[in-house]
Amino acid sequence: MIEVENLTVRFGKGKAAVTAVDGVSFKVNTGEAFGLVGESGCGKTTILRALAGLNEDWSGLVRIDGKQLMPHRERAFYKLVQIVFQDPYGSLHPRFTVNGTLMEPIKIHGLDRADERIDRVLRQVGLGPSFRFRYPHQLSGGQRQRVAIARALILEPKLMLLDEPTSALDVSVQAEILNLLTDIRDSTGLTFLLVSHDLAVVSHMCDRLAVMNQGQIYEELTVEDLVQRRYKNDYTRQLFEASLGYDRRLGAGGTALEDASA
Amino acid sequence: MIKPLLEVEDLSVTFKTPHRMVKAVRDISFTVGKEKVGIVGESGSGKSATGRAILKLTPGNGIVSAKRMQFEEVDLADATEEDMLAVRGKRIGMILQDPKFSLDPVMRVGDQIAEALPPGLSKAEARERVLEMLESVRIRNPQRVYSLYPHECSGGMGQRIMIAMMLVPEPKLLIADEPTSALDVTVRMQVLAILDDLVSRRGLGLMFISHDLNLVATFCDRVLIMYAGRIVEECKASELRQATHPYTQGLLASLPRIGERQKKLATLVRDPAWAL
Repeated sequence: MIEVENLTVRFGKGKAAVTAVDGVSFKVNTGEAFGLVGESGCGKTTILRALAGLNEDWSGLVRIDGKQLMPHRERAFYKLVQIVFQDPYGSLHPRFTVNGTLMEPIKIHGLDRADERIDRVLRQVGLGPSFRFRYPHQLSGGQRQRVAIARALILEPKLMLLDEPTSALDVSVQAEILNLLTDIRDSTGLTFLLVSHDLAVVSHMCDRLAVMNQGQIYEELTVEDLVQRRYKNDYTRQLFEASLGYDRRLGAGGTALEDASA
Repeated sequence: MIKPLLEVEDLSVTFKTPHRMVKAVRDISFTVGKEKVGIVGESGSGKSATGRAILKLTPGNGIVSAKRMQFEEVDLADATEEDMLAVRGKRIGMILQDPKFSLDPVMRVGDQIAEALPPGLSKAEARERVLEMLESVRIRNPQRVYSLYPHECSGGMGQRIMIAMMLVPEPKLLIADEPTSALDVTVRMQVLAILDDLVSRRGLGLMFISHDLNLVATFCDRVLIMYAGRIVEECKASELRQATHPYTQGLLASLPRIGERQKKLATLVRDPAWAL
């Protein structure tokens, strides 16, 4: 479904240039759920934004559904690929009702049977048609994220890009949203590309994952390999051990990371 | 039994809004000794309001009441604003979630830490003390870090600078409100280790407010679980997995875990009775 070869994204010019994504290559099969894991600033969201067409300034080769992508995207691309963002408080227009938000993609793509589509997608995300004329401020964080997922689903895409879809939510709400995403994948066979800093979330949702740091993919492995601790990279081990909770030994050591971002 | 540092009895915090009164904290009682006490709960459970009420930093539309709020010999419940000046920062320190918002953006971090020192020190003495403090929170190159501005520091460094600043007056109790949730996991461990050392070496009391059950279970000694403004359960951190309250059990079950792959995560069914 996705083939990325040597993707590079730079910000800034000359001396101040920062290479956020540095020659990254990976493949995601159709119907698969693939995770990109890493800490803040490692470039995982930047990859997602380049794939989604939100950043046109990149180099490398990207194929989605067999078609090579140009930096600028055609309208048909967005029918194929949709994205769900991290912050459901920022990604919905505050003055649009749920109906208004869901009507946008329908209008842009000139789809018919708008009412039917909206009611169906609202049921699909577990809200139901009664939510159709509410504003975002009348919804909880979890309900907003459901609307954001509905907005992505209404175009019936083949690929869904998920940028930390639950990191702004409480754990009990996170479980509901993750279950919803699992249901959607089961019923539609969508391909997921999930970006997250949370190894537990990725291991719950995905089949394979890539561990990123400083703009590069350090290691690609299956979730099974991760669980069995068959990782080869030391950074993967650090992330893995840190995700198990506090351990005196891990923090006791050095200041190795201190100057990394200074 | 050794007398605890902080004893709180029947603390309530109520916020006045134009429409109604919102009870954020409802009659909670707890103690904090020279230990790591975790307060966990979801957003809106009242955990941060509790931390703020102890320092009397509740915003103007909030009403705090308590039968007893005793910190060492100070009666916090009856303390005036003037009394609090001798407590806040000096004897009870507070660390907030994001160092970006807690540090002054236009002042060198070393000078900010120096502000917390007692008056009367010479410039050279003050600098020496600040460098010591920076070293104690494991900043490798204190000379260089002294003259940085906050925007030149990473999140982990910023948080260590905040901790250094809080420790200058040698407080007895530290209230840390989500001190590591803005940090990357690997840096998080180091910051936690620093806090851990402070409790074990200096005999500090730590109130660790967090939404992260896993972290609290592995880091703290004791855990209070809050729901809708109440403490629904209190247990040893090591025994959190055996928690008995359905809310705690529900929260734990809803966490995805590496290596325990289940098709669906358990979702929490909230019982209105828990909030009564």
